[in-house]
Amino acid sequence: MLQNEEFISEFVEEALTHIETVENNLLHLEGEELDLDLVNDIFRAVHSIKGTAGFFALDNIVNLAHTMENLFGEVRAERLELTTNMIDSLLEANDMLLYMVEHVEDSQNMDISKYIERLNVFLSGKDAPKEERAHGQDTLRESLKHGHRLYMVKIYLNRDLAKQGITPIAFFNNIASIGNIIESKSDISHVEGLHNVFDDDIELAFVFTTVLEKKLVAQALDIPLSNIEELDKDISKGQIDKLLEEDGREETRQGKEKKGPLQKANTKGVKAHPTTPSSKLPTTPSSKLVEDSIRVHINLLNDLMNLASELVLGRNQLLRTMEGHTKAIPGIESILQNIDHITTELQEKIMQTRMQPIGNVFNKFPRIIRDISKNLGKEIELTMDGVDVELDKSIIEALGDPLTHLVRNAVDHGIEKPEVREQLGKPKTGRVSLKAYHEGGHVTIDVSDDGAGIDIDIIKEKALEKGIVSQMELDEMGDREALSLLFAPGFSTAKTVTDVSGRGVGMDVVKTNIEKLGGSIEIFTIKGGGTTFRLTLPLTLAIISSLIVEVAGQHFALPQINLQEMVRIKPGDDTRSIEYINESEVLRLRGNLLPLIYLADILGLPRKATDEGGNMDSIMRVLVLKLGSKRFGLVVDSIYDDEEILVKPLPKFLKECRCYSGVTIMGDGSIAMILDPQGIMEMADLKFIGDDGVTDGEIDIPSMSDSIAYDMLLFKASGPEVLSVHLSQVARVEEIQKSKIETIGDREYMSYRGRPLMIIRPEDHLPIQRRGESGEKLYLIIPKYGESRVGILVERIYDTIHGVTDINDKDIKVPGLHGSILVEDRVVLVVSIDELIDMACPKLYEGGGIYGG
Amino acid sequence: MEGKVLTFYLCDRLFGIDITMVKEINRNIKYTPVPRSRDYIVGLFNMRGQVVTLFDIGKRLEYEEGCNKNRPTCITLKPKTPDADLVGFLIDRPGDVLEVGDHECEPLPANISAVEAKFLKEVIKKDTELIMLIDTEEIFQHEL
Amino acid sequence: MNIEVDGESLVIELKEDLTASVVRDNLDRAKDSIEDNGQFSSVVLDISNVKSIDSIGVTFVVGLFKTSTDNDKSFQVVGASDDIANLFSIMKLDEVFTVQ
Repeated sequence: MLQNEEFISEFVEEALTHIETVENNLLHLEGEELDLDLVNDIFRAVHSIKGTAGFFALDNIVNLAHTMENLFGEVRAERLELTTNMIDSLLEANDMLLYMVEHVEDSQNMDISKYIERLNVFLSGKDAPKEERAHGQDTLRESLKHGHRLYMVKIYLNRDLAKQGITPIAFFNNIASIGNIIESKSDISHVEGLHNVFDDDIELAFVFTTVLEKKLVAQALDIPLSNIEELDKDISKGQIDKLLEEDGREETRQGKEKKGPLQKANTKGVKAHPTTPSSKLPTTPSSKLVEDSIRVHINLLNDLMNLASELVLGRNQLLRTMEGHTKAIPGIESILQNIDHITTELQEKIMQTRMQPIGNVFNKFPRIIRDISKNLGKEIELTMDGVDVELDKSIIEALGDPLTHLVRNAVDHGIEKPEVREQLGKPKTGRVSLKAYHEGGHVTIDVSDDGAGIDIDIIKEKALEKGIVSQMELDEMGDREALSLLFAPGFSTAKTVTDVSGRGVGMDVVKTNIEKLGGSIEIFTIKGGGTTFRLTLPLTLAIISSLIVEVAGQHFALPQINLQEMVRIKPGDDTRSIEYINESEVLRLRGNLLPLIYLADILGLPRKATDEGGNMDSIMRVLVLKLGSKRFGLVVDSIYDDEEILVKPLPKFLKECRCYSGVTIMGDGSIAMILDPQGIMEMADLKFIGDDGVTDGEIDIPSMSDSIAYDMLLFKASGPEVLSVHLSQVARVEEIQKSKIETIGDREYMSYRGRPLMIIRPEDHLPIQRRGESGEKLYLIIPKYGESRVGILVERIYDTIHGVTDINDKDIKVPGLHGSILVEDRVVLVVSIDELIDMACPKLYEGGGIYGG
Repeated sequence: MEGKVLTFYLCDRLFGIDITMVKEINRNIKYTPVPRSRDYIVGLFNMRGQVVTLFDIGKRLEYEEGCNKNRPTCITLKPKTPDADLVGFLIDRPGDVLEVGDHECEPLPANISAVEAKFLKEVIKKDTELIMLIDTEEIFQHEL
Repeated sequence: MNIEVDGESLVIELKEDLTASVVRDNLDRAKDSIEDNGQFSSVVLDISNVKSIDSIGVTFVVGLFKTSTDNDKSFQVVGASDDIANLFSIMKLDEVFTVQ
C-alpha cells in the first residue's frame, strides 16, 4: 500500500525528527528526576509516528511505536519507574524504529519481535495497555494541532460489537491505537434489569481524535461508516458534551430505541462529565516545526550559491574593467558602488542560507559516548561548546565521519579505565570535549580528551613495524613529524583491533576528508595528559582565496590555505640558497631545509629555461607550502595575483589527476586548474627531511617535543616593544613605501595589487607606544584568513621562531593580545590578528543564521 | 538508425552523430589544456559557466594526426543526466544534417581497426558518401 | 457463580469470564437472589477471577445494577481487573456505581 512516494517521504522526514526527539529526551531523562515535559514530548512523538504509520499500513512501525507508547504511558502515569535498563531497551527500540523508517519499504519484512518482547518485559504484570482516559481540553487542542480529525462515534454494544465478535475491551484498544478519546458516554437506560439482557442494548457514544480518514476509521474499528460523524475541529469542549448528551441517532438505526433524551437512573445519572486530566499536560507542545522557516530543496540552494558566486565574479570583472574610466561617465561611480555593495551582501546572505549549526553534527555524540563508554567500562563526561557555530551544510555533512572517528578514538584509546585513572590521581570520570569556535574567516573544532595522550615512541615503533618508515628515517625524524605518522595510511596504534574504533584505516581517511573540505588537522598531545585534535575549516566551500601562478605559460590557481610564504631567490643571495641532499634539491631558508618541487616537473611541462651554465639566471620563485607538519617549496615561473575563486568540481574524466583539486573560471572567462598541494606532494614522492625544531637566526628557544609548539613571527611597530603573531596566520609579508599610503577619512589605505587594502597600525589599537616612524621603508603583514583586505603596518620584521610553547595569557589580559611569551628574557607580546582586525573594523553582523530561524 | 544525423569532418574523414545527442556546436572556442590528463582529453572549455571536457576523437580512434587544434570548433553533447559532466569533442568542420533511414545503414566493414570497431556503431551510405556513425556511449566512456 | 449473603451484602462471585454463555447460565439465579428480599442492603459483584468480559457481560453487569436499584439495594463491583475497570471508566459506568 505504499503508493504515493511524496507522502511517504514527508512521513519519513517528520518521523526522523520525532525519533530524534525521543533519543535526545531519553538521554536527558537518564539518571535525572522524572521530567514530565520530556516524557510527554516523547509520548507525543511516538504517538505521532504510530498514527501516520498506521495510515500507510506500516504495521511493524505501528506495532513497535505502540509498544513504546504503552511503556511511556506507564512512565508518564508514574506507574513505572524509568530505569537505565528500560532506557537501554527504549533506545534500542528507537534505533530499530529509525532503521525501519529509513528503510520504509522493507520495514514490513523486518523482525521486531525481540524489541517488543524486551519492552513487554517491563510492561509485564500488566495484562494489557491501559486505555487512554479522556483528557479534556488539552489533549483535544494538541491533537487537532497535529492534524488529527475529530469524530463522534455511536455504537451499540450488542448490535454493533457483539454481533461482529468484538469485545468492548478490544474495541477500545483499537481506538487507542488509532487516536485519543476525548470524551465518552454510555446510555444504559434501555437495560431493564436482568430480564432481557440479551436484547437490551447499551449505546456507547464517544468523541475521539485520529489522523485517519473516516473510511479508515470505519475499517480500523470494524463498524459501519454511518456510525461515524466527523466534527468541526473548532468545536468547543462544551459543545462536545452537549452533542453526546443529545439524542443524535441516525435514521438507519433500527430496534427498540426509545427516542428521547438519555434517561437518568435514580439519583446518579449517566452524564457527560469532563474528566480532569490524570496527569498534568503542558499546554505548549514543544514542536519541532518552527513556523517561521520553510523547507527548500537542496538543489535550489546549490543553484543559488552558484549564481551568487558567478555574480561576485561578474562584479569583480565589472569593477576591474571600469577602473580608470569612471571619471569619464558621470554618475557611474555611485552606481558601481551600489552594485558592489549589494553583490557582497547578496552573496553573504545566500551563503548564510546554507549555514547550519554544528550542533547538528555534535548532537549524535552523547549517544555514541554513552554506548561506547558502557561497552568499555569507562566513565566519560562529554562537554560540547559552540554548538551554535555555523558552517556550510556540505561541510557539516562531511564532518560526521571524521569527528566520529576522533571521538571514538578519544574514548577507546585516550581515556583510561577508571581504576587506572584513579591510580594516576586523575578524576575517575574522563573528559571528552568538543569545542567549536569562529576565528576570522574560518572555524576551528577541537576534539580533546584528558586521557593518556599519544605515546610517540609507540607510534615510531608501529610505523617501523608496518614498514611505513625505515629506522634511518625514524632517526632523522623530529617528534612533531613522528606524531604525524599517525595519519599515514595503514596505521593503527590499537594493540588489539577493537570493534569499537575499527581498523587502522581511520586516521588517514580523517585527514584526507578534512583536507578535501579545504581544511587542515593538527594534533597536540601531552603524554599522560591528554590529546587535542584541532580541525580548521573554511566557512564555506565554494569560494576560496587562491594565488595565480604560471608555469610554462599556463596559469594555475593555488589555494592560499596551505601557503605560508613566498620566497624570491635572486642569484647570489646567500641567505637563501639551493643545496643538494641525496640528489634532491632543497632550499635553505633561514637555517631550515625545505625540499623543493618543481611544478613544471609535476605537470610534465618544461622547466624555465636556463643558461649554458645550467644555472637559473633569473629570479627563482618558490612558494612555501605547509601541509600538517610537512613543509616544502613549490617552484613556479611567475606569481600573479590573489584571487577569490569559485571552486568547481573536477570533471570525472580528470579525477585521476592527483595534482588537481578542482577547476575555476577566471575573470576573463578562461578555465584554470586548481592545484592540490597534497596531490602534488604525493606525486613528488617526497622523502621529508626531519624538522627537528632547530631554530635559526639570533633567537634560540629550547624545544619541548611533547607539547604544543607554535611558529611565531617577530616584529615591531613604531614603538620599542617586540610583537609577534602566529606564523600560521600570516599569508605574507610585503615591503612597501610609506608614500604610497593614502588617508581617507580616519582610515588609511593603500593600493595593493590593484585593489584597495586597509591599513591597520597596531599602536592605534593596542596598549603600546607610538613613536614617529624612522624610515620610508615599511612592511605590511598580510593575514591569511578573513574576508576583508587588510594589512598590518609594521616597521621592522625580525624573524620567525619555532617551538614556542607557553603563551602566558594570565598576566596580560587586553583585547587584541593573546598574551605574552618570553624570548631570551625579553617579554614579547603576542598579537591576536583576528581581534586586532575586529577592533579596527568592527563587523556588522555577529555570526550567521537565517532571519528568524 | 533512423532519424537525423549531424555529419562532420574530422581528420579528413566524414563522421556522423545522432542529432538528438547534440546540445550545440561552438566555434572558435578557447580551451585550457590539462597537463597530466589522458592523451585523448584535449582540455576544458567554459560554456556559459559550465565546464565542458573536450575529447579528441581522432586520438581515441587512434588516427595518427589527431584533430585540428588550431581553429577549434566543438560539438557539445547533451548530458546524460542533468548534473552529469558535460562532454564535447573537436572537429575540423561541420557537415550537413541528413535524414537517414534504416535501409541506408550498414554494419561496419570488416577491414577496420579494433578501436574503430569499438567506437563506431555503423556506416551510413548516402548517395556516394560513407558516413561513420559514432557510438557515443563507448567513445566517451571513461574507464579508470 | 457463587451467591451468598455475607453480613450486609449479597455477594455474587464469578469464577469464570463474563461471557454470553456464563450469563445465560446464571441470569435467573442472580435475578432471583436479588429480588428475594433478603436481609442485605447492598449487592456486591466480585469479579476478581474474571479476566475478560464481552458485550453481554457488560449488559449483565448493568442489569445487575438496575435490578439492585429497583429493589432498593446499592450496587458495587469489586475486584475489577485493570482492563475491566478501564472499560467501565470509559463507559462512565463508574460514575453510576462504584467500581473497585
